[in-house]
Amino acid sequence: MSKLFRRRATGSLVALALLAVPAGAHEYKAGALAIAHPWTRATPNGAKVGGGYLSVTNTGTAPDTLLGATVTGADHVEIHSMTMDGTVMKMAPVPGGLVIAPGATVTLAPGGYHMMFVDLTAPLKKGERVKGTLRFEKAGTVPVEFAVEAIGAKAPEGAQGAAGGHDHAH
Amino acid sequence: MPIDPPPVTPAQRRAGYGILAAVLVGILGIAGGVVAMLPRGPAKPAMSVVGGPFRLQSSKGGILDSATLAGRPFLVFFGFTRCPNVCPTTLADLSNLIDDLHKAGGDIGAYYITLDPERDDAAVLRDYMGSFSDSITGLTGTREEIDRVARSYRVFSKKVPLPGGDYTLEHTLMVYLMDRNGGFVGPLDLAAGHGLALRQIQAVL
Repeated sequence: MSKLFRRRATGSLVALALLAVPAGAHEYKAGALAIAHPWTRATPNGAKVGGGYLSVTNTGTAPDTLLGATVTGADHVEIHSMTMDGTVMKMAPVPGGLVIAPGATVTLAPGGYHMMFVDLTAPLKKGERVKGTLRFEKAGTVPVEFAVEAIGAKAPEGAQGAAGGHDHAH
Repeated sequence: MPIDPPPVTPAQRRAGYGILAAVLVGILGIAGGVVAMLPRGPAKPAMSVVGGPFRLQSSKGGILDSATLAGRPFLVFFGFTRCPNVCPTTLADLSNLIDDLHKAGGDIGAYYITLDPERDDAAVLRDYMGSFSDSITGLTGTREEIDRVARSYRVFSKKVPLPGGDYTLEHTLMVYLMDRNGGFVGPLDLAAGHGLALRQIQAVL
C-alpha cells in the first residue's frame, strides 16, 4: 500500500512539473484552495465518457477533500485512480474523495488520478470550455470551466510535453 | 585479514581430479541425451506464443478474418470505448504515428479489439473509430470470440464495478507489433516518441 502510494505521489510530481505553466492557464481560488487549469479532452465520436484533469493546492492549515464534481453534458462525474501494474492498466474509484493536505498539491492528470465524466450527452469539442463544479468538504462548491484540449492531449496546450495534439478530422 | 588457504596435499589433489572427471562425464552424458532427443528431419516453424487467428466484426462493416492479413505485418491492441483516460490517447498517438509512416512511404493496418463487446457493438465502434486514422479498424464480436482472442494475445482484463452500478475495465495496455506471418515481434514503444516506434514498424515492413 505504501509502495503504491509512493508511486502515485511520484507520478503526481512528474505531472505537476509537466503542468507547470500552460499558456492560457486559468485558475480559481476557493478559501485556502488554489485550483489550477481544469481541462479535459475532445471526445471521439459517440464516446460516452471523458476525462477531467486539474491540480489543487491547499495553502491553508487544515486538510480539505475533493468529494466530487459535476460537468455540463455528463450524467455524473466520478473520481478514479489509474496505476500501471506492468503492462496492465488498473482503475479504481476513489472512495471518500481525494484529501489535499495542508501545503500539498494534488494533481489529476492522464495516467494518474482523474475525473471520469460519465454518460456524455454530446461530444466535447476542442477549443470549447465546459462549465462544471468541484465539491470540496470545506471549501464548498466551486464553479469552474474545463478547457477542452485535443483528443490525444497528454497535458494542456502550451504545457511542456503537450505533444499529443491530434486532430483527425475524419 | 585474508587467511591463506591450507596447502593442498597430493591426496586432496587426486580427489579433486576425480570429481572434475566425474562432472565432465556427466555433462557429456547430458549433452548426448539432448542430442538424442532432438527432432529429426526438417525443423518445424517457430510457434509464436503470443497472438493467434481471429474472425471478428469490423467497424468498417462485415467480418475481418485475420487470415486475410497474411503477408502483411499489422498492429493489434485492446481497449474499450468507455475508457476515458488512456485508450483515446493511444488511438490518437497511433493515428499520428501512422500519418508519419504514410509520409515516409510506408503503411500498416492497426486493429483495435474491444474488451467490452456488450457495450461496444459494430455501430458504436464505427462511430468511435471515425475520430481516428482510417488505418485503424475497430473489432468486436461475441463474448466468447473476444475472450478467445484476448487469451491468445495473453491479455488481462477485469471488470471493476463503479459506485453507480456501472463498470469500467482494467486491461493490458500494449500495442502488439505482429510480423507478416502473424508472429509477435514485440510491443510497440509509443512512450519514447514516434521515432523509435516508426523504426520498429519499418523494420518489419
